[in-house]
Amino acid sequence: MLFNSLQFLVFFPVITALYFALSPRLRGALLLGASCYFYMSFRPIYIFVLAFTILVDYFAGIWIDRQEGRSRKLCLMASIFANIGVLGFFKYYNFLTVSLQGVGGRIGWTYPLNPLDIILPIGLSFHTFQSLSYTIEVYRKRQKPETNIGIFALYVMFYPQLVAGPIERPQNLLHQFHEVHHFEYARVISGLQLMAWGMFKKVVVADRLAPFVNQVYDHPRSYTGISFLLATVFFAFQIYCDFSGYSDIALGSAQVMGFGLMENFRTPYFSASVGDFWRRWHISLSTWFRDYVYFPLGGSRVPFLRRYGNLLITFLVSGLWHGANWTYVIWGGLNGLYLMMEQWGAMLSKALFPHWNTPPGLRFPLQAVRTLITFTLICFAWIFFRARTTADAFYIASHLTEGLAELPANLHSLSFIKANILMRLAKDEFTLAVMAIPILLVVELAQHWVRLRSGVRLRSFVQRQPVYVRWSLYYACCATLLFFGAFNKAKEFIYFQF
Amino acid sequence: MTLASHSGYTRFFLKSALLAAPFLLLAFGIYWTDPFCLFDSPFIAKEVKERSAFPLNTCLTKLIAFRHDPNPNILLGDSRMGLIHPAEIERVSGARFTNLAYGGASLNELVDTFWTANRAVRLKAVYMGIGFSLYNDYNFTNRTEPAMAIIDTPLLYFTNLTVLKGAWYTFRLRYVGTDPGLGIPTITREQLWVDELQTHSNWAERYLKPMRYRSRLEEISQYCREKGIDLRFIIFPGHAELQAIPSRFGLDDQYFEFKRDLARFGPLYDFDVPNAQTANRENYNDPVHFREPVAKGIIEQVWAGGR
Repeated sequence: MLFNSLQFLVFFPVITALYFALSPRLRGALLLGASCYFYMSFRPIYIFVLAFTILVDYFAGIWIDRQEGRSRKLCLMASIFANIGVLGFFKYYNFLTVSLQGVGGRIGWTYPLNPLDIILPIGLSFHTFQSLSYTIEVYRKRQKPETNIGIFALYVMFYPQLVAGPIERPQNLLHQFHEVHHFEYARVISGLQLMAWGMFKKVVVADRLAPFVNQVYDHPRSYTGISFLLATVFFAFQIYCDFSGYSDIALGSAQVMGFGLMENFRTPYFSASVGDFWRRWHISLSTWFRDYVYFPLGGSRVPFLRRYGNLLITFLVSGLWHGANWTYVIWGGLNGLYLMMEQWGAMLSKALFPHWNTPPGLRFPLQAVRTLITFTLICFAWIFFRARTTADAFYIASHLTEGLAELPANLHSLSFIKANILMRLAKDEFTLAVMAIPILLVVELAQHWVRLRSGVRLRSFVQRQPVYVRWSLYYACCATLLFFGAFNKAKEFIYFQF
Repeated sequence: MTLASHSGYTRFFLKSALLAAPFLLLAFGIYWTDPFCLFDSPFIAKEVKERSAFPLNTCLTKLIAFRHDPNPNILLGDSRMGLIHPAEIERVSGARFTNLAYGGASLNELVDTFWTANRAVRLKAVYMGIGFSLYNDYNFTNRTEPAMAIIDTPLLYFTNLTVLKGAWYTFRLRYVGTDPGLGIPTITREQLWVDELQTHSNWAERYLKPMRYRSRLEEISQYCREKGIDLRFIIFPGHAELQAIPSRFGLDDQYFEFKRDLARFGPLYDFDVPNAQTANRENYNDPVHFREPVAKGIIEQVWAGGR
């Protein structure tokens, strides 16, 4: 069941109404049942994989708490082994097998195993990581083990964030299942606003951009520079709106019921450095890797070379987390390299100009240039993320400027525009897709600005406006969603595949 | 339930109703005008909608009409097949056909339309007009999918921008008398001629072996054989300048393979051969679209038992 489907349009109000109508004692059972139904609507059989993860980590949490020393560590290792084992089998077995067969073929060795016909359980990487964070936190004595298996199951499979995060921490989420939530008008409205904004990002921006991106990235050898540039920029917005749209709907729907989930995106394309981008993009995963991979490796409190090694390893693993394909590994590696270069650059400039202070008049233009450079670098990395194969990715990356010199002359030709700019899709579709980007940017900019100026969220700012302003916005938002959204066929969220 | 949450509920439901009211009104307006006749709404005549809405989305119009009046004999293709009038076929052969061809159609759309029609009625005769430009994996558009989604889930009819546009044009034409002027060409014949050649050159330049399409057509061919459906293919005559494009892009082999494939899938009427008719510009509106007399000749040959 997708958030942008008709089923969810019925499912969500029904579950929410029941949630508030039922006695608090029964609400947990309702949410658990609803979450099971939600998950099983994708592929029922995989509920057993989820049940396995829940059972292992539930008992692991209790056992870890009871043990000390070596046996405590052994319990944690068992939990990690079980979780990563499941993830490894479903997600990486075929990748590893095909890769080893390829290597074997080159050196004249026959790898004995063959790929299996496996379908990846939806959201496996997300709930595995969420569950793992629980056992690790219990091991680190920062979280008491949950003794109620129903509550623990809810922690792993709470339906708003079950299939694509945010990857929660037990300290933030677990205790909320023990609390009683009342129907609070202001909170419900704020949650619905967030859901509407998430839906706008998904159905008006991401799903409208998708056909253009798919056409170019599915047939890269039929296109040249301008199409690659357009499709890559479109993809940057598509993936952002697809994923942050999902997160917004997840946060909003949880908020309606009284649950607070962690923020997953903070206007990342306004970042002035790659480091800043990673502090604002998929925050729940970035912090997961920081806390459970980068820091345990030694983080930045180690000698110079090891520190960069740690950074690179973390990003390579993050790339692999996204998908079992070399394209994702290269994407992760590229981002790691950007960060390393950025840190070297900062060190170098500090050494060369120790007393440099940017004049106030230059701050904004410099910030704008840095933002633009960061966006360009991130877009370049997206090529590897989106391309179907590494060969396609390198083809696109090496043909980005092809034909750009002749572009001004070609723009007079209607058929050139149809083939290379509109990618053979209807002009209206293109206009709608492109028009949505400035709307998104204006709202995000306003969000960024309001937060900087008054430290509040844009939604709170809107709530304080006169009634005619608010209602005009509500009507405009609903009309945009209804008539400009791509509802014809509910499209899956990109991150579902991870 | 506390008193505070009770008043919260009331406030919430009242405001939700207020928010929904204009959209419900709009939905009623769409139902009233029913621009593509999905509900066969009786308030505005079909003739008005033919001028105000149908040209906005021929695919949706034709599929909805077919759902209301399924016919076991269908014509599938792009705008060239669109020039073949079912009335003329009925005159020469006595058989009643429904033309489900769309302008600028892709093979994707033809195949999907075939299966959609097959779900609606037990098909007897299917004539597919396929040009070389369609037999190319690069030519990928698919407008059938959204149209089918609307037919399957009528709720989407109320949220579709084209339907909204059609409703507005229909309302204006019926009650204000403003004709939206749909379907009036905005470029000259010469411009159109150059543009069509350029578009087809672009397709040829980006030719992708139609692996997907071939297997989808093969599937249809096999299905028709099993079910006793009379499946035939027509390659319409392009102007000599259009016929020259495959050679210009070194696609002669692929062009002959295309014809061989179609002949393998079912009986083929191939009119795309160089001759006096295809060399004469007067027989064409543009290099792709032939004029009425040519269309009549094709109908005579195909349906009156010519070839």
